[in-house]
Amino acid sequence: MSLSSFSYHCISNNPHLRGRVAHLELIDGNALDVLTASRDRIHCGWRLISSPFYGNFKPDQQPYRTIVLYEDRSADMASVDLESLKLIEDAMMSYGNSRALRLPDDFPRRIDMDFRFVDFALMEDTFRECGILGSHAERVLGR
Amino acid sequence: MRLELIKAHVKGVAWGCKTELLKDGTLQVSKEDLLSQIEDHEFFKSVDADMARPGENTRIVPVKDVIEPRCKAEGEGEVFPGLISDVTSVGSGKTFVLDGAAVVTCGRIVGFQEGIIDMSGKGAEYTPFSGTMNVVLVFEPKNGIEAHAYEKACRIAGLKAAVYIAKSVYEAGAQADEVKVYDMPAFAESMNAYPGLPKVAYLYMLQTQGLLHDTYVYGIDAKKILPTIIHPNETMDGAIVSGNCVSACDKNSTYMHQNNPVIRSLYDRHGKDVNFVGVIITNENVTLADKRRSSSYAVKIARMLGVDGLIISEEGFGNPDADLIMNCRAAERAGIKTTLITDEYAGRDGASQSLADAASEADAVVSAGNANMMIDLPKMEKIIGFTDYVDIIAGGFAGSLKPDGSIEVELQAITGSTCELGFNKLGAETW
Amino acid sequence: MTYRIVHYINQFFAGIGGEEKAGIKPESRIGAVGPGMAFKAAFGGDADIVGTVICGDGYFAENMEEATDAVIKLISEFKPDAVIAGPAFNAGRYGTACGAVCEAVAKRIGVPVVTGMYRENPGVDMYRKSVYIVETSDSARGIKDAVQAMSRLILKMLNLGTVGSPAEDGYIERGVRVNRFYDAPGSERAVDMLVKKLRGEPFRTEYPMPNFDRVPPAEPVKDIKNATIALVTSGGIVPKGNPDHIEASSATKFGTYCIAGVESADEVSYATAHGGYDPTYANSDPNRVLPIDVLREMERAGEFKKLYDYFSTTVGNGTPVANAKKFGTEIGERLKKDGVDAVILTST
Repeated sequence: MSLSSFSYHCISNNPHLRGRVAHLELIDGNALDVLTASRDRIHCGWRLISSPFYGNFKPDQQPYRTIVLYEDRSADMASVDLESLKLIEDAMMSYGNSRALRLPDDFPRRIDMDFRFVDFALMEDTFRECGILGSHAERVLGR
Repeated sequence: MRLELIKAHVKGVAWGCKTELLKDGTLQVSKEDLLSQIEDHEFFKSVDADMARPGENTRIVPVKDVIEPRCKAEGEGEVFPGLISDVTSVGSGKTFVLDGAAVVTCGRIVGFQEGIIDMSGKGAEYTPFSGTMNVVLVFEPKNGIEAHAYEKACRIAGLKAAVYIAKSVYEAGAQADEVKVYDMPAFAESMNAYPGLPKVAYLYMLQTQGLLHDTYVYGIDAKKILPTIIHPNETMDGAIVSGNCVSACDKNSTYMHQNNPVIRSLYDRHGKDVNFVGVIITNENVTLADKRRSSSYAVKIARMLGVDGLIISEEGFGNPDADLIMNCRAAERAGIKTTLITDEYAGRDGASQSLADAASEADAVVSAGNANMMIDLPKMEKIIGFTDYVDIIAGGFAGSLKPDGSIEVELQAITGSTCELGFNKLGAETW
Repeated sequence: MTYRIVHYINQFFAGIGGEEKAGIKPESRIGAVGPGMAFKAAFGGDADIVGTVICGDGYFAENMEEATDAVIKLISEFKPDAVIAGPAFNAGRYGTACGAVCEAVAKRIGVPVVTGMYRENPGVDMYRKSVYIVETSDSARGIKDAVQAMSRLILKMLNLGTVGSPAEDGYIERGVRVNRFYDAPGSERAVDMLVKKLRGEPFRTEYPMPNFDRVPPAEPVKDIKNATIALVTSGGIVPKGNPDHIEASSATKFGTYCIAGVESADEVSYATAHGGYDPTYANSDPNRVLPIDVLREMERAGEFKKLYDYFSTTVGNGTPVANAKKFGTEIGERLKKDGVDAVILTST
């Protein structure tokens, strides 16, 4: 049980994070589902730590989104962080307007594993800084 | 600091027994020597080399990086400091350049990599590298190699090849066809020069998010730096190197960093319309705190320099758009006039919002074009690289394969097509 | 070959009548009617108006789905090569109908379509992306130029299958980005632009930023228990019978009505005038859009001091931004004068 008044959380649909990231809420869905769940938490007062637009992949190119948020339990009243709200809403609009959203099964396994790994790699430093990085991940070529 | 670029013009490329520049301008390369310079049994199962010339019915795919062969002729340090050379600061003296040649690397770190260079046909109109004499290296990884390590190995090999070629040619006694001088004095002098002209600096944003999205400055991962000043000449000696692969259209190849067109354009106008006083480099990280810190810090440096105007270029889409707008807003609010260079992701029909962020302060923007525009690429006779790219691209990633073997693909997949340094003449307008 | 073109117009241009005939249902006529004759002349021998489909602006605005279906059916019966609609000049409901018809033709019949409107017609913002809207003057005095421009464009689409830039072909920018090659690389264009900007000279940005009309949130009410609260709605709730005839779309006015002593917006005394949503639930209990009943409860419970004696209402359906701003300013000034502390705005 944590005694601290704040904690970091990760919401993602990337199964690669299981066992590697603490405080993880794994969503069974697409990127927009991840953004929506994050928005719901932001409405309850959580703040965005990372940009929802990270990575240079477009919404219709790769299936995974990972968001890191901060919860301040000591705050008396949940007040919404407007910057976080604007960012997540912008991201939801961008993903919502996209031609198509990818699902993990859209790609051959090898490529899907590559996407999972790059998604993790892009967020790794953020996990580490927030103290929720459980273990490093490796992507070994030829498998 | 003064740098002379000694340029030898390359008019052709061919394999031969010795690496040198022939009298007719053909760059002759010894395949054996080249491969022995870059082979690395720890990482590569195989390395192969091929050539691609403008006008040929050849496609190179997937492209990891493009590097211009250069080496120091005189002065401190060697090109690509911190990566394949010592870390001493560069940018002064003389640098030898094989103008018109390029080393292109195809090292596939992940399966979904894109990056097409077509040497002829419609696609050739959209990449600057259909106009260079290309020496292409194709790497295959050893089984069991880790992705980050393999990316580094490919990157280093490309740089080594470029320096090897330039050095061999220089040492064989190449003549200069053209000499360009770039001279920017110390601040004490530059700040007082041209009192009637506005002081202008360049805010150079570097992609820095992680694997396949990184940039290196003197060998340091730019994710980890605070924004800082750099002398424009340092970029000409390869102080900034690309570790970025996504997306092909707007990732800045090492070649682009070496030939930064904003720096060139500012130097061209220096003393005429502007007093070009310096370059500030900054990053595009993932965490919001990093973004705010870097933006605030970079604009503070601009204010310390006391500039009147700032050109800002970004690299990438989405995440970097937020940094671009943040930097623009902060500068404008501090009284510094800005002009931005960006590309657009306006959808295949051009109707979506082009940038992920916006601000009314961003009233002077140059566009490098809509990267979602669809283009038909003809079937090519020769493919250098990995031939299963068609499955990736045809798999709906960025396009589709037609029955006649041609591909319909987004501009996004073409290397350098919407380079946000403003390298190309491509742009967009509203209809 | 002579192209077969069908023309869509409203009851007024068909010569059937004015506002009193705005409720007429879709009907068709063979050949050209009204302005169709001018189009016929402008086409020369290249095209002919084989049929005209007419619908009342009021009927269309209040029954958009059924009207569109009926109009499409009538148009299809002529087997057209192309369809033109209007021009609607600055008539809001007519412009919206023309835009909707053209969009549906493009989607369901798949032939070229062109319409014409004044730049500020609400139909422009709604349909510019999906339909080519030729720019016209604000009234029928500009009919000659409008007919010329529309004919030219539809014939170009039929003959060449392509459309040029807005400047070339006379249509209102659709807001789509199209790539082109400039004479100079982007870096040079950027330095040029910055130099002009620094000198205070005019310059043209290559990417106009989207206009975000961001409204900073107002300060929270300090003393809610002593506050007077007003209700304002764009959901179109009006006293039954709509005494001020607030339009179902493209509203040109708002109404202000007394609710002193009114405990609930019941279905006997109130109804919705809004043509942009299914009115069933709003009509069976108008409190759903204008929550007078809940506010009276809270007023009685002392949660705030007083519910202001008047509510203001309009129909937020295709309302031009300029009009909405005007209404808001007028309503706000009156509320301020009467000491209202806060406003609850409901919309749909």
